Amino acid sequence: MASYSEWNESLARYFSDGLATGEAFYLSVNEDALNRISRLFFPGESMQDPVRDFELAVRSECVRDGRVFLPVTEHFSRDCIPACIAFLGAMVLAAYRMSPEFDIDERNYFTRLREVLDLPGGSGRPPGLSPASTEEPLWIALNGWILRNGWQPSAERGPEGPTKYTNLPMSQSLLREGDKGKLEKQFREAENELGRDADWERIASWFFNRAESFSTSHIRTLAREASADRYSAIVDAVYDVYTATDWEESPSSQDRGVRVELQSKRLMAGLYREFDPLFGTIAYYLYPRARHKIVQAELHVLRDGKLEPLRQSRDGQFRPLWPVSPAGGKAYLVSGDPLISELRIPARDFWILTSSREDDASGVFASRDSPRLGEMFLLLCREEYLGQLEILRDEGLLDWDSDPVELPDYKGWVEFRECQVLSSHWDGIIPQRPGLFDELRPQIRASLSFRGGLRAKERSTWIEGHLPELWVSSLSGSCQVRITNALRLDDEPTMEKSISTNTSIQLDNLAAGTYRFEAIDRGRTVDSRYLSVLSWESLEPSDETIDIGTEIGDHRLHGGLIVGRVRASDSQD
Amino acid sequence: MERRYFYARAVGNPQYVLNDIVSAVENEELASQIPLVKLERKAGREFYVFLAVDVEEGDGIPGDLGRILQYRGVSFDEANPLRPADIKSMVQRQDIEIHGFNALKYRRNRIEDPGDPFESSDAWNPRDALPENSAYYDRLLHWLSAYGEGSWEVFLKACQTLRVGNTKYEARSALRRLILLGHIESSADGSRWAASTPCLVRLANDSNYGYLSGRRTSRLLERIGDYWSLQETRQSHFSGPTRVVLESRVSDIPEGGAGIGVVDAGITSIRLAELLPELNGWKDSLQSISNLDITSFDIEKWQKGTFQLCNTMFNRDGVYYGERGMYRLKRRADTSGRTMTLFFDEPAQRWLRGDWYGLRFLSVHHGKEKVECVHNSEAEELLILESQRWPLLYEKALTLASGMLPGRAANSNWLSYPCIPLSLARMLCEKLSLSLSEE
Repeated sequence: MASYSEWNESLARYFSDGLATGEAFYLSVNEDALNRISRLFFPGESMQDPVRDFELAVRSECVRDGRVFLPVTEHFSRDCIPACIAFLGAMVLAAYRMSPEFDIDERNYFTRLREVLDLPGGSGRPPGLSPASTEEPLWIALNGWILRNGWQPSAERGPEGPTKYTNLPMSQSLLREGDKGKLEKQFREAENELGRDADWERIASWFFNRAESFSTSHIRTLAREASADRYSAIVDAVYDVYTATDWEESPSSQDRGVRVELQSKRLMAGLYREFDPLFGTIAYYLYPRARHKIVQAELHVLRDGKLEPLRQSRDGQFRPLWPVSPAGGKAYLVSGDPLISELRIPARDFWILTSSREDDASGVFASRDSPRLGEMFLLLCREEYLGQLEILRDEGLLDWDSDPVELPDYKGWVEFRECQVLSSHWDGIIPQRPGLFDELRPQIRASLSFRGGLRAKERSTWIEGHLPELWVSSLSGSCQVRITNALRLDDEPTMEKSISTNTSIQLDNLAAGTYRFEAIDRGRTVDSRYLSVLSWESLEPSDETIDIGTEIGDHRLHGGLIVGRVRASDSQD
Repeated sequence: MERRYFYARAVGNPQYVLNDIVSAVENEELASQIPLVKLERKAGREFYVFLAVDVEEGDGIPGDLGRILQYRGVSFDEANPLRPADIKSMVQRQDIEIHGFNALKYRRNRIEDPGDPFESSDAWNPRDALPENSAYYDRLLHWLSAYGEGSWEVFLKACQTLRVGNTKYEARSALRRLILLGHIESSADGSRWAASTPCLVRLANDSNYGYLSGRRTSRLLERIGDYWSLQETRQSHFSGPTRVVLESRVSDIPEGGAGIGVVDAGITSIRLAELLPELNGWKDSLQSISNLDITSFDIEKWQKGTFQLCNTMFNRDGVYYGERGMYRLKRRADTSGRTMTLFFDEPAQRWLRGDWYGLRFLSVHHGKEKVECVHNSEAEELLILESQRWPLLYEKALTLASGMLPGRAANSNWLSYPCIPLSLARMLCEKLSLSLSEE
């Protein structure tokens, strides 16, 4: 059996592994995750039932004589990992086991938590967890650790009322135990429509456009109340179920543990667009999509009998590979990781490409997350889609700049540049191209974005005195914006005001620190973002190894430093 | 549910009518049911108004809106709503103005063309004379050091934000100056930059002393200042970041820099001068562009200190005909105004890309103009005509000698490089096939 501290550290590593700075951290502990963690982190141990092993470890550390003893928030491992993660993981596991038919019943939650901690039956908070806010310092400690590592916290309080604090674990468990089976059933039923190789964007639009017809109330609520900051995490969770779906539903493969292992056999790719200013040409490259917790080793892709390495750039994304047709529908063999066997670019008639949020002036567009509300994107599609797009423009739903541009090197494909979705009134339009229609249709009612200013190297971080403007894009006309100190939730908000959409707030007066920005529409948080402010005095020189230099014969000049003979392996970059 | 348009003929000022409709919809709180209003624009006093509603078959205008608008003089035909396509037969598409309810405003966000990454001339800029420029450059260097590396566009934005330069031309000047001082490096295609390893570069005329080059922030300077005294010198005309010299003799610094992460780089200027190839070797190292279709470009040639229209360059049967020299090409189909500067090496039938001053130097070298430079032994300075500025790498061997950018000599046509021993001047002049005058 693994100890509490071993589980604590493994959970921290598993959920942060491969997470790029600025991405949201979810402590989404469930049975699949625990099975996977046991295989990855305790391979030599004879752990028959990892879920039970985890529960026993938490109980041995945190439960005595029928009472909960919370881990001390000031305790950290050698790697500064807070000691509370495993306990909080147990709280999330209880949320995962809640019945999906009773969405926000507090008693439903504590009944499950008592089962996880093996506490005597009863309703409400178990001994040691009263009053209601007792465990919140643990969540604050977790969020502090997340922010110190450059990620974004995702655990948040609920509205005032019985779920104010139980929402913290519930916010981490996006899908519940019963949801997955029902989702799988829906995927099987939609096999003719979706196929088995759909990509993230296709599944995202399919899910949100059909969630209202799902039988579980939790899934319907999840889709209806999805805030902009949770959109990607919800789609990730749904997409994981899709990729692990047992299409044959054969009794022999009902063990989810086995299927979770199978789900990662494939790495999906999108497009990366590059403009050559010298020759005025546009090229589309194969762009593997990095989804964290998948890649465990150095990967190579087989192309024309030659192995090409998959390299990752500073932001955790893979670098583009070679030029491809936007039509896609190709697969390449992958070696280097037993869990990944192929790289596949799906067959598509259109692509929605966005620029990097960290370097939005670079003019490079690629398959990344779906564009946020109000965000510009580039639409690459076949000429046959022109009619559908003109209808959307005529109906005030979408607009773009100038005329669509034909691509001489990609016959039959056109680019619509500087596209922006403008409205949420899509119900009355009968789609001619349902796939495109569904993907363009906004699923989120409001979004916050930061523009301009001087960014620091860490994502979502700016330099003091050069802060960005906060832009609010809301399809409700106006919304409330609240700014609070991210680590002192009970402090008075730094700012709270109502602002109308299409307007911005200049943030020049914020001192060094980390802030949470919320857009609130009719009392509900519809988006939240974190922003850190660094002082000039706290800047440290980057310690990254940088491969840009000037070759002079067999030497290399790095600024004021000349480095000796260049080895062949160095010069390959 | 399908979209239908109720339409009316309206009379009056279209903007007033639109305002009336918008306020009525908002007062009745119907913005969630009425997606948009379309208005015929460029019309006379009489024009069409179309009110969109997403309805079930047989539904009319929701609430009391139809009646309210009737009072205001706009009577919609509720019995015969139109389908979206029907509007096209009534009004030209380009004559329609759309007002969406609860809609976002379309904002154009065109990405500025970053220009030719090699076009980094360092022309005199009146802003250079402002003393606060030093502080702006220092901040830029601190930020670049912390950021580590990035695209040219990120550099341009930082220059604009920190007031080092507003335009891409000014930002390119800043980039070139920072490269000359060893603070940053640029990738071969000019698309990316990286802040260099922090190091102590020894002066070429007194290797006992050195200055800091590469990544630095206030924190690093504070740590170094805990061990040694630092002396700051502003660049001539405040045209770059402050030079920071260690007042201690370099030999007094323990190996490894006492753990502060600054490397002793030695006398980089002399080492670089030794390593640099002769001019032809450097020319061969430039990026060569093959199969350049010059028919799609407007072409200008560098002559007498300016670019002049050139109609004598052509390609026949794969052979380029034209004079050797520096050319500026602008693609006719490109509306961005982007140009690229190339050197046409006629005997080798190749187009070369490289830093702007380097290409101009080749042009001067192969032309009739005499290339001049003067070394003053007493002042230990080298003078170069600004119109004959050297290729970047060779000029860098001069600036790294002192950590200072060139200043203006008494005759402002000349640039003056300090701390240049005669041996260094001779070595570089020999490599560039220049005759050196000694004073």
